[in-house]
Amino acid sequence: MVSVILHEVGQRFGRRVLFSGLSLRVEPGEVVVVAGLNGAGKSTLLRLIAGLLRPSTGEVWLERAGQRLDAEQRRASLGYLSPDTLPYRALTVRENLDFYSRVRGLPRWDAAVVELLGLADRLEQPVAELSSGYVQRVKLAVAMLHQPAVLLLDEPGITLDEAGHQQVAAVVAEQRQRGCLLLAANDPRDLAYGTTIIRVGG
Amino acid sequence: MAQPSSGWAAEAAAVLRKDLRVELRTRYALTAVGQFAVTCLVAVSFTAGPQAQSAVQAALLWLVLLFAALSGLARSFVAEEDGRTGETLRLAAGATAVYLGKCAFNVLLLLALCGVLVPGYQVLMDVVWRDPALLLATLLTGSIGLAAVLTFTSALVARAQMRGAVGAVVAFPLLIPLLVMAVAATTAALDGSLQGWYHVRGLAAFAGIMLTVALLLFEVVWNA
Repeated sequence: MVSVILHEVGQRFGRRVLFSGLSLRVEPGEVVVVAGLNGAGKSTLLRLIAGLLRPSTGEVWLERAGQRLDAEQRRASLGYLSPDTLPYRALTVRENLDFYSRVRGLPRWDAAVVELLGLADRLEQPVAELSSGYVQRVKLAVAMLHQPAVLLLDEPGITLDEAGHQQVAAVVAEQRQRGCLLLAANDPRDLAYGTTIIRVGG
Repeated sequence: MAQPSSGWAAEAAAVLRKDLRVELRTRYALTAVGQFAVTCLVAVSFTAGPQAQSAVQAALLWLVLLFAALSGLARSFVAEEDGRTGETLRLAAGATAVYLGKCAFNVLLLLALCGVLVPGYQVLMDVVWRDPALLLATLLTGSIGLAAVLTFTSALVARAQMRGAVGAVVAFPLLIPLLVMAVAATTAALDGSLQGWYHVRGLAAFAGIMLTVALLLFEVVWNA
């Protein structure tokens, strides 16, 4: 089982300090919701944990049984969804899932993920032709298809309808069985998932 | 967590297949490279014409190839960033697989370009290749070297704020040895000189060195 550890983490962009001295330990089974105003640093915190950004101060690492994971193990352990990313628009849903499975070294993707997110009847559709809600579901599927020990979801509910929110709830429940979840959000529905809620930006 | 079962070669093949599929649907790089190559080829044939010396003809062919390649290959990674797919790819795929997959795609793109450009050049410039095998070997090794450099500099460019400036500053000095050897080998292919094979060995060594250096440095650039 993988834990996420932040030790005295601070992030600044130029003179603007987003947060400083942040320490946190997220254990398997936990759901940590990162809340805060727009621009407070919620997405930045998730990017730091994903390894897409280096902290200005402090350290972020993942560990299993007290051993720090190296870059390759960290990559295999993380699933990440962000409003700033997209699937390949020229490819179909199936081709996107096939591609991300193959580059992760998986023989095939998990059909249960597709069922869970209601994508089964959209598999042959190009992503460019999907509504924003279905694009969000594809992004969730890509983040989950390797059954990551740590799932990072940045605003998972945006663009989703009621059925989509129920699917996010199912994703959260499933992830708690498998590992831990960090979620950046302000939506009351998302806040309710948290076993711990931290607020950034004061 | 699901256990991975394949290595970097299978992952690189997946990146190559994905890029080929996206390119066949969007035709972005093919259009950019093709339009540039055809325009340059026609302009060169009108200006230099069949009376040009073989060294000049060889240099013009490689200039057309170089600038056409710059217009298409330089976008390998910029397209990922512009399409907002870069971060997901960075988290999903290993750096070695991404570099090799994209480099292989660029080699195929360059060979396809050569397949159109060289026959067109032959007709418009009225050239006769006295050693076609030497020409093919030059185009193959030159394309691999060109792709190795431009794939790497494309990754640098994609991560830079002043994209155009970085591409030009980094790529051109690295490509000078390749251009010198490629022009010499192509001149020899036109003249039928056996000395051209010496330059082909140089091009193969250049490609090998550039691939090795790029693979060693790519992870730093890709994860910067």
